[in-house]
Amino acid sequence: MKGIVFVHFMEMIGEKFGLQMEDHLVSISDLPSDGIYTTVGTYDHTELLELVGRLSNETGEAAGDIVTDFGRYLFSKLAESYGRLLNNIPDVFSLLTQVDDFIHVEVRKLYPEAELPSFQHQLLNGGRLELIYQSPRPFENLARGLIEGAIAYYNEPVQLEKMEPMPGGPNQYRFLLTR
Amino acid sequence: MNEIELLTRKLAREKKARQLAESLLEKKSQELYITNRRLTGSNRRLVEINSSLNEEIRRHRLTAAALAEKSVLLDNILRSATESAITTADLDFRITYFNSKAEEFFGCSANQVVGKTIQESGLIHNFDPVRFQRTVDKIKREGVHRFETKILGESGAQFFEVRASGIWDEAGQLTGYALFIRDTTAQKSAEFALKESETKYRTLFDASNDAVILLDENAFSFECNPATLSLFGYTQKTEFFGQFFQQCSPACQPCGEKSMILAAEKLEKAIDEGFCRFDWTYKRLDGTCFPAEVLLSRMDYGQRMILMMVVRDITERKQVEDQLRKAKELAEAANLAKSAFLANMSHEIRTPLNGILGMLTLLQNADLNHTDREYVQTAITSAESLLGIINKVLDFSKIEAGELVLERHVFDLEKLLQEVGEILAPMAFEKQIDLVLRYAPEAPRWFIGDRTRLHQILNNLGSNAVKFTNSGYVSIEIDIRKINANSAAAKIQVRDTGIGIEPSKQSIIFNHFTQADNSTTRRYGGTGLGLAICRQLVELMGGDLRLESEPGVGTIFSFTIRMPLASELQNDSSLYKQGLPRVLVVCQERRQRQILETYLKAWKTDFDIADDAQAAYRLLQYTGNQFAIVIADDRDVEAESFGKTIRNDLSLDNLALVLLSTIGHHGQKAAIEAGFTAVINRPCTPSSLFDRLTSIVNGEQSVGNNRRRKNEADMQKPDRASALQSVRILLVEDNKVNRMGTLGILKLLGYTQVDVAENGQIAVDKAREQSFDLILMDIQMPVMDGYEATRLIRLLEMRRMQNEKSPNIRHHVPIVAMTASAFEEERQRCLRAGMDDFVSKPVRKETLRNVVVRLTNQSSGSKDESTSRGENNGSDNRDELPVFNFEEAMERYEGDRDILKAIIDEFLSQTQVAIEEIEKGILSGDLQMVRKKAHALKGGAAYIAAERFRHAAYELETLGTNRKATLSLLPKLREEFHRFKNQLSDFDWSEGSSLASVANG
Repeated sequence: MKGIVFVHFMEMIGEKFGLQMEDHLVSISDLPSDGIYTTVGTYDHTELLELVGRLSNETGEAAGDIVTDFGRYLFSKLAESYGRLLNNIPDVFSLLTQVDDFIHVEVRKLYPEAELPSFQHQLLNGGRLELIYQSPRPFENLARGLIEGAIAYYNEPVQLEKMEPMPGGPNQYRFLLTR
Repeated sequence: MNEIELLTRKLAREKKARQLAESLLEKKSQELYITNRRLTGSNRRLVEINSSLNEEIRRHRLTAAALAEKSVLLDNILRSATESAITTADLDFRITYFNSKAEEFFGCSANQVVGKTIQESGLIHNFDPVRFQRTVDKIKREGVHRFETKILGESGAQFFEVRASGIWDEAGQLTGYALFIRDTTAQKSAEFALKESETKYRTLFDASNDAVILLDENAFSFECNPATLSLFGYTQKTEFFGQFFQQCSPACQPCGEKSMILAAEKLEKAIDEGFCRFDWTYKRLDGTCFPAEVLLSRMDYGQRMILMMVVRDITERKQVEDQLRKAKELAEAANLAKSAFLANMSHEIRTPLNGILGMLTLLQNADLNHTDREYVQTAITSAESLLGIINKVLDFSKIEAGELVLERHVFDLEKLLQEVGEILAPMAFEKQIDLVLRYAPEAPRWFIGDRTRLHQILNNLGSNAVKFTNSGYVSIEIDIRKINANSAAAKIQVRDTGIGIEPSKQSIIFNHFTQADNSTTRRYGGTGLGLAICRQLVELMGGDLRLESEPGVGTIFSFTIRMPLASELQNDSSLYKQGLPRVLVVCQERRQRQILETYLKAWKTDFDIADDAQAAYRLLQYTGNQFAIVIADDRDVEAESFGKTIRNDLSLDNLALVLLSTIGHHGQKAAIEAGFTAVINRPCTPSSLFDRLTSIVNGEQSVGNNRRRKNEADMQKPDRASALQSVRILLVEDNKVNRMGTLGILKLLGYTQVDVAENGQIAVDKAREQSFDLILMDIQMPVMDGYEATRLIRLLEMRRMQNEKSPNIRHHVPIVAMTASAFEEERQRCLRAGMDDFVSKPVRKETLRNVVVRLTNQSSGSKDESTSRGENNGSDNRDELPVFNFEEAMERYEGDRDILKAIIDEFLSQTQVAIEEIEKGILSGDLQMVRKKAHALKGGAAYIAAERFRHAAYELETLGTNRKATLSLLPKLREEFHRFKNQLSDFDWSEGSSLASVANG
């Protein structure tokens, strides 16, 4: 997993729960990187799951909610940093339908070793968008948070109507968005 | 934990993160650098690829343009320049293309049909969808569907070949269909014609009785007809195919040559020249052979060349030929055997006849009473007649066997005519018929040819003419026509006014043993061989003996032969035949008168003619002193009274009176007594007449011109007898009878010193011990034959000559061969062996006398012998001879010094050259040439009586058998030539010069 995810996660901990929590989390978590993250580095995704698990224990907040919140937070931060990339994308659906065909293609050019989830999309009748999330790792809530962050960013009347697991295997989820 | 501490820990984490990030960035930077370099490289490659892509595009554009162009071209070709109607359709059978031939064929334009489906276009009448689908299926399956169709039109049937095929793209995908329609009517009719003619020829081929085989260019047989199988004994054609000549020929042909080598020659010839016809022996399958006649001909079969061989079995023909040949060989062998038998028999008969004649001759000279003498004479006549017959048979068998070879030597044709005339004259006189000889006076006389055989022909034809003529005349006429400077044609005619020959018999009289009529044989005698021999001899000489005859009127035998002329000098009659003083001819007989006129004109002599004595007398009475000679024919003039009248009444004493008479005429003696200067015997040739007249004018008188008779008279004089007794003769003969006979004849002739040797060995021994003046040598003898003996004697002489310088020893004894063989070849062989002359057995008195007298030089006192001296072989002792016998030379040229001088000058210049050539010949080893030249010199020297030179030339000719001998003899020849030249330079050619000064030089 790219370092930028961890950097923003630690940042969100500091902002939301204070420096103490941040330091505490680092010290109690079993982290190969010792909690030292840089955006240019790459870290095992289990470190993020470790951190989320510790934080849930500390705060009593569900791990899924933490990850969803982080998704929303991550999108807003990414939008700050790479806003000019989003200037050419007019709305949420456009963005979401381009994830697989455009964003991930560009990501792979920069980081050939990156393990990315796939987002199959299908526009359905009645202004609905179906997204099929499929990943080797269980970050469906991160995806949900990012989608919600995008909706918030474009400030559009789009509802995430359904998020349901698919029968094909683990880490497969169907998102249904309505406009 | 306080806030500062927390911050500090966070800062520491961030510091570490920064450090980590820095190192990561540095690493990334390096990666980027490398990536950048890689990108630059691949960028460059991309540029290159780009430019090559551009090039490819450019090429592609060009190709596309070319393709477009080609497409137009193809379109044009398809449209117009093709024999076929072509149309294409897409997968939906919509017509996409329709060429001009198709327009023509279907009778509609492309515009009308392109874009329509085949069914819509109506191109196919009675369109049957099922059939159409079947065709389409077949095309899909097999690629093409082909069929022929026939349309009956006004001008007969038209044939078309239709080909429908699919069109596939590069990937093998069917994209459409094409239809090709070709008019095959012309091709079809050609095929029909071909088939028809093939059927015709095939029938001939199959039905032929001759084997017909086709071979390819390597002589492999690949086709044959049924006759071939039966001829060669095969059952299957295929067994027969292959290397034909090798398979069907024996290893060798009858000529012995290998079959394969010969076959290759024949094949090559047939290929080169188009055909080759030859005989060949073939081998059948079972190994038996048969002869065949073969015609091998080349046939060009399109690009290919094949050979057709026609073989015809000629076994039967060969058998017939063989039988014929065998029969012919048998007949020829029988004929040859007959000839050989005849030759042997006649040879065998001659030997005892020799004895008979010899003994009879002796008996004739014995003391006999009149009756006995007559008996002996009759016996001699019969024996001689028998000898004549046998000689003819010998000649005939010789000619028949092809063994007769003609001789070539210089001879005087006119003299030959004269001699034949002299032989025939007594017979003619006896039968009271005229014998006329005619020879153009200005014509060449000297020829090169076979004198003996020509003499034989003339004698035979002349004798026949006389035999079959009872009244009138017989003439022998020779006309000479010069062909060029070196040769002339002599036309010889023998005419008679005899009984003639029936036309039906004319063709058979030349046959052997045949006469015009069997009764002829009884009435006239003869073997019937004479004419056959004459004809063959004439043919051998290159002529053709012709006959013209009318019964009761007469017969003419004629032939023309071409002969080389002897030297110009010899034939230049103008040198000495001109300008007799004025002549009066008294002659009424037309033919004789004509001949005399011709002769006198040729000699540029003034003459007058009187018909009879009366007219002559009148003419002489007034102008007698204008004539020098009177020639009177005794048939028109009564000699005795004419002579007396002229001499007594007219007192013309200086006038030469010549009587032209016939040999044996009784009145000759009386004529001389009546005042005639001389008698000239008829018939005579121009030269002999001229010679006689000249000598008469010069004051020499003689009765008759028969030398033999005069010789005989001379011989019988007692003073001659003692001279003869001194001649030493060696007679070499093994047969006792012959020896006795010859001895007797020699005794009769007056030769008493005769020694005898029984064989060659004894003869050589005797010749070594004693010296002889003459040796008579038999040829076939036991112990040592005559050839060998002669060679040894000549060798002996040569050794003596080399060892002894004494000039008084006789180095060359004349040797005369005596043989029963009468042929020229035998004579030549004798001369080659070193002999000087040749007499035929049985030896006859006259012949023997002439030879002995000539060769022993016993007749120099006799004037008449001077000519025979010219033909002398020169056996005189050189040192006793004069360098130049002026008297004899002058006599030869009738005292004309100018002519003699001219001839001598010519001789000198020719001899100089000849001697040089002889020297070259000796050096190069060409002894034959040397001896030939020496012979020529000898003859030339005899003409001008250069006696010592003649002898030297003679020695070179006869003794020059090896190089050493010629080298020793050449200086002598030179020496004598210079001696002769020197003597001549001192010689005073003016009249009355001293003869004594040169006589003994």
